Amino acid sequence: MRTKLFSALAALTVAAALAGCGSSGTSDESAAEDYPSEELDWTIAFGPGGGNDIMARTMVDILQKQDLYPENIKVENKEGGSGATGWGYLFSNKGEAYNISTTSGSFITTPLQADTGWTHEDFTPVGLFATDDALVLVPGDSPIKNWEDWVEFAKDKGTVTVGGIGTVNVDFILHALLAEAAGYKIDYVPYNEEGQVQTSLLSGALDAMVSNPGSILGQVEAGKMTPLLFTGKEPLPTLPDVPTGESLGFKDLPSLPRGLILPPDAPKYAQEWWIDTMKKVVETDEWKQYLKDNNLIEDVRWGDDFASYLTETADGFEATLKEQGAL
Amino acid sequence: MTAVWAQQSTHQSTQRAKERSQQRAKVRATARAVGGGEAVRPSVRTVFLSILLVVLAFYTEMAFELEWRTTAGRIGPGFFPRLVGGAGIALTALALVSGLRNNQPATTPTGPATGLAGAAEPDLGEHPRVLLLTVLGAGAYVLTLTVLGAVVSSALFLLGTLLWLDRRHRRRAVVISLLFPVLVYLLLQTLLNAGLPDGILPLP
Amino acid sequence: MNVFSDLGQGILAILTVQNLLLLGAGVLLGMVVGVMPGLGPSAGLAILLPLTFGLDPTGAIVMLAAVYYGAMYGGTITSVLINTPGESATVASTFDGYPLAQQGRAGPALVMAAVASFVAGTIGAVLISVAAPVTAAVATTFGPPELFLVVMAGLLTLIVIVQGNRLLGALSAVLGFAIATVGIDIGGGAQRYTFGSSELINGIDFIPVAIGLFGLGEVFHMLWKGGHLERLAYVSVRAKGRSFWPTRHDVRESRGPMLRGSVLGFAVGATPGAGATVASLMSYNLEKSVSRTPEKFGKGAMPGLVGPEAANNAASAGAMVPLLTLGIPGSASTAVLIGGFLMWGLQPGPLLMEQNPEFAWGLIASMYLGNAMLLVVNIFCIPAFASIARVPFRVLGPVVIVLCVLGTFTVNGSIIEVGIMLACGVLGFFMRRIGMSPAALVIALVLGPLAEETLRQTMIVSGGQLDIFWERTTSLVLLILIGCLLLLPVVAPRLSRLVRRRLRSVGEQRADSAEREPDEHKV
Repeated sequence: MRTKLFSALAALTVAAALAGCGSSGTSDESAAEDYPSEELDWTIAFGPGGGNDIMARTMVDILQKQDLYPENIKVENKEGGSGATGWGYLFSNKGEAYNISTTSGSFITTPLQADTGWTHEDFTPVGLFATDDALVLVPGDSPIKNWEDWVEFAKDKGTVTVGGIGTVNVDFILHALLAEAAGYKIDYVPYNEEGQVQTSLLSGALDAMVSNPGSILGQVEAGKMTPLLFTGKEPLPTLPDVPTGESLGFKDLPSLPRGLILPPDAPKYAQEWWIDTMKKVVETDEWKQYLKDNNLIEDVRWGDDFASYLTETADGFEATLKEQGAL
Repeated sequence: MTAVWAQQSTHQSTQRAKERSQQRAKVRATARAVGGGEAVRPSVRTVFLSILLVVLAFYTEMAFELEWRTTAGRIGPGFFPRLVGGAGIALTALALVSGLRNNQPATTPTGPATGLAGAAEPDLGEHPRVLLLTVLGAGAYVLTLTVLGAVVSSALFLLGTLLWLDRRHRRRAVVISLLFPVLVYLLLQTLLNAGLPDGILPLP
Repeated sequence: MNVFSDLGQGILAILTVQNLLLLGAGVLLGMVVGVMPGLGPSAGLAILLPLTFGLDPTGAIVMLAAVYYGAMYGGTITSVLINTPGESATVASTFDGYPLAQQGRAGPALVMAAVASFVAGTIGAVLISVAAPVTAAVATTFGPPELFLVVMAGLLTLIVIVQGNRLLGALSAVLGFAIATVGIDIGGGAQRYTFGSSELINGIDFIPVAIGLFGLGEVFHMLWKGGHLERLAYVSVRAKGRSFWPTRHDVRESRGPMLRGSVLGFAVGATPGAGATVASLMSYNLEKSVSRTPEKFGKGAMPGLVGPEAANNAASAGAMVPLLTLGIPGSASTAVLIGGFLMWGLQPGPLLMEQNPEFAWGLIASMYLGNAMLLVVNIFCIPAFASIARVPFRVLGPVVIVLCVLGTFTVNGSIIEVGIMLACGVLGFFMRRIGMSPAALVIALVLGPLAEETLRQTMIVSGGQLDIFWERTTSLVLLILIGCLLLLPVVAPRLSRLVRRRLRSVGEQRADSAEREPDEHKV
């Protein structure tokens, strides 16, 4: 039964891919001139309410309000397999000009830990808009108030217990890189949910955690947690006093890409149209407001620059994870 | 009663042989060798538990390929699968043995969820053929769902099963088969945008 | 007392015509979503959240709270009528709810469930207002060891559930644990039993398994029993003659379970983790332990339905406490709500209640009003729902199969999950035939991964030492509570027997009803 199901599914996928190739084969000058002239199929690889979802919906909102995309945009959440389902769907629409999706950290990490059948290299890059960076935090009632205190505490204790989301994930990589560079040892506790990492830290089970600013700022403002370090290239506007990793001497701390991608082998005209259009989107006030509200650091790279950024980040991830024995 | 039971379960297992693929048939053969007495053909319980035993054995074997402990000396990914697999094999074997010792399975009508004895149901005999055909129909329904789309595929399934199960109300069967899938589609897809396959019909 | 004036003001603030309409629409929509097998509160919220993109926060939250409660109750309707829990929190409602419906008492069961939800919602709203600071303080002491113990308390329910046949019951649970190990291992990123499929890396979801085992399994069972023949309706035809309203006996029987369930549910729900599921299971466990007629449980005992119903509703109120006072999501549904907060431009965190009091109290008030609205709507809707009991099975059976297939598909749009659901339907049928317990399997599937994850986290935190469980105050308290829970079924009957003997010795000689033999159906 199951094998039948799988093979039927495989046949379907192949059929869909072939259909996709067929339509892109017939693409001619008029298709390029008319673009865009059809409904856009916008895939969100995660559930509603997540970071990826909010970014995608903000973009769609801007595209529609400013009349940048003349036709209807169909937004669909295709959740599952840490992004594997949604991006797998985009992958199966090879050569299509009317499929698009937003990326986030799992775009790099999911192919590293599972056989998804695609990697970041397969897709047609549009651009990177911002990076997701992280804060390193300790409980607010602890005597540790800055990074130097923390390193001293960690070295005294021998091995510190730190936490974050998942293992094949940027949280673990950050902890590992920081510990190695500063010269202390860690026991890393992986969690599934943000809420549980936070209560663990507050309950005293963890010495420190990492989290992205958007979800943790409330705790910082209330004094429940003390931020020690921000991994972004520039200080966070809302927390200007928290030092960046670079200012403390940690080079090349990884960040996660918030970008936009088209299916593999998407027509050149579609890629160009999207680069031109998104250049207008990132200039709008709504977009700036979105970045500010969600504490994202702007980092704009187009087309091939974006692709090489992805390759660089993914290679770095793989190297660190192999070194740490997580892959 | 005993004889009737054995006969019926034999009938059942012959029916199921058609349903299972070659691989399952092999498993069943092993199961028979493991659990079947010569005089009495194996009961549903024996066959089911034997299949389970084989599956759990595979499960446990794979569990031993996973690490028991991590390099840091903590509980590894193989810890729980090994415990679960070991316990599963032991329990299944125990259940098999106790079933064989009593010779007849302790099958009483059970409640829907808890496995506790439930309310007595009227005895209308057993209908393995009806069940088998419905299961196969449901399988075909699921396989065609993404190809034909939610509405067409659901309508076909309903039409088939209703006309067959409810032969006296043909008109009612047709009305339900046409209306119900459309209604569900309008509700889930058009109103809530929940993502049902459109299939071959050009639907909004 | 100013909490009450805050709550009062919150209620007044949202009492506009528009908001009442939103509430009514939300409850109805939620019920419709919840009635679809597979779509529970968290899926309902996730589907409807995008619709609120761009709405003002108060209007959005009123709508979503209504959807939440509606969907929760919708799940109860399917649990009772077609034995299909919409999400893990309503699994316990099938244990006695469906047997009640089979006995032709679907109407009273649904009414009592709605009343229990309303009572629990009321108690929950009051408890949020009064006990939020204390509860929040306790919630921040919950690390991995505490969560592990809470999950263990939930797993103890297995002992109560598998009483029919312990051997096969234990085997069912083990199967659940085995299915739960599929997917990427959170501890180290290793793939277990995924066979390279990216569809399986997040494991096998509860929803297709539960719908298959319970919903489809029941349809298959009925077909095998000849349910498609004239004489047998899906649930007993006696429904026609019987009264629709609960009897006085039902109400009297339900008072205690409702109150206990509400308080227990609120407390468990406030802990971040498997809140509502564990709460409803613990409540079932508790009610069976304290009941004078435990042998009726699983065969249509009203307390076995209202206890868990009250508990899962109060748990969703309890889950609001860490959400509002700490900014920490304690359940799948509140995690979606946090996403909503960000979407509406609110900063979740400990200061949310201070910075946006109207919003926070508006949320609590709309939860309360959502419950009230649910009760009102239900008085009109339950007769319609209960009349499903009169549809002959040969029509209802195929319709239920279609609902199960489409419902499962909409959750993640995955045909593989629909296949899993169908396979579980067949599995459920055979499990039932040989006397195994699908409920035990499902509970193990939901709680197994949590138990493994939290135990492994605990072991990393403690450096492999077990003494962490009694060194931390909260976990010591939890250990003691679990001990009490274990002893309760042993102690409670003796205690009540003792009391009754005393009473009897005072009065005249009568037959001792307490010595009644429990039914022994098993060999």
